[in-house]
Amino acid sequence: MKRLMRIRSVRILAVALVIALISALSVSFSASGRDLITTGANVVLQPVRAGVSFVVGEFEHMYRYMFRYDKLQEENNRLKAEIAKIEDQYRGYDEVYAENERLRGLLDLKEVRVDYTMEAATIISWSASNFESSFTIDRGSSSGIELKDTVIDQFSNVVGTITELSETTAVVSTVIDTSSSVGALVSDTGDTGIARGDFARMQEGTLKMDYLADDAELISGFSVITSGSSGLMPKGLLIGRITGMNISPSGVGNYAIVTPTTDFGTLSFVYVITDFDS
Amino acid sequence: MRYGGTRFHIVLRSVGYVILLFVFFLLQDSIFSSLPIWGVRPLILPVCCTAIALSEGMERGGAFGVLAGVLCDIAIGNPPMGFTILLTLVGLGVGWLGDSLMGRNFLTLVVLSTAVLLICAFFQTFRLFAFQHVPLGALTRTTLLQTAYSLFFTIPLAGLVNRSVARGG
Repeated sequence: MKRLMRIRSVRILAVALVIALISALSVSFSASGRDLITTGANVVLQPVRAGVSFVVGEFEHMYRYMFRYDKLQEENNRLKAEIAKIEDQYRGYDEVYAENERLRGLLDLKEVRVDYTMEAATIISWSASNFESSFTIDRGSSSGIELKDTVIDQFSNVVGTITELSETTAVVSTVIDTSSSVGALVSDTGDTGIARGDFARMQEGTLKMDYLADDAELISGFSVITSGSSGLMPKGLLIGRITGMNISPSGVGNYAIVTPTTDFGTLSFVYVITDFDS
Repeated sequence: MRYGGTRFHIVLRSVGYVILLFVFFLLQDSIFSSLPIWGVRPLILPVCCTAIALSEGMERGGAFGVLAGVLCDIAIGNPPMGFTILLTLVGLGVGWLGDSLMGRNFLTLVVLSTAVLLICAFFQTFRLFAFQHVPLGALTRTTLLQTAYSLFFTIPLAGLVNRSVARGG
């Protein structure tokens, strides 16, 4: 009996190893970075996950409506105040326009073109891992999406990039994920750097911008945009705003803390930029 | 002795466990992924695998470990298929411990679940620590929070698995 059990246990382990081997081979031979078994299981489970995600979303909406009314009221008042402030600023438009022109000249920025080809997608599920920040969308290579395509929200804020791809789904690693690294530019000063995901910052929902010049003078509230230096991401997309600085006496290891402008907590639809004019 | 019963009871219990794994997969994937505590979400499927393997023994524990691993890979997916191997080994190992060395009770489930969750966390964090040089302190904090949060699920799982055994004979 014991011998029989041992043989069966070895068989179960062998089945698991075969599954893993097939998957490993399928990952090696496919350029998508996605294995065959997970892809197959995903295809089967996609409608269920999308259904559950929809139901959870509806409950969340209901919860927000019922229990966050005061918060929404507060936000509404804050937004009204902001609109009033913007209207006030708009009156000084000429002055701002002149300053903008001067800064453009200073930074040698080209006119940002918005000739993007985009594919709208719905978020099916977020990764359950505490060690990465990624989610799965309901569009894949059949919709023209490719690896490393940029993903933005409806306000053109950078959300992340495509890191895994199957026929009908794709995995997006967000800008705060530890694997994320984006060429960045502080639009107010022209300082360049790399906006990178950092594990400790990821759980606070922020990222850091390092490789800054020693004399970089950054202030909280400055906007960080994509520099487009890699050619993989369009130039001028808003990544976030600077909310802090970490300055070392030597200047080496200085970095800015950047809070993404996209709200990951409420994100349910995204756009994948499949093509753009650089 | 592990729990047995007639073939019919074993099949009935197995169907129950498959449903249990799918339900907890959906809970982990869709519900608790948006309910973090101090920014950390629970890892439920390894606890499920441990509870089932402890009550069912090495052979069936390994088989349910394969299913739990595939589902965990769908929910987490990094490294590809890693959890399939890991949870199969967990199923076989916990089942063997239940068969030979340890008693089948709630305390054993908590102890083994803690060990399994720590192994899973080591497996998840190794790449970050070794190749991306993420500070050990930050990883340890997340690991401990993830383990503590996930251990809450031993309570309903112990009840569900015991009930399944009681009904299955």
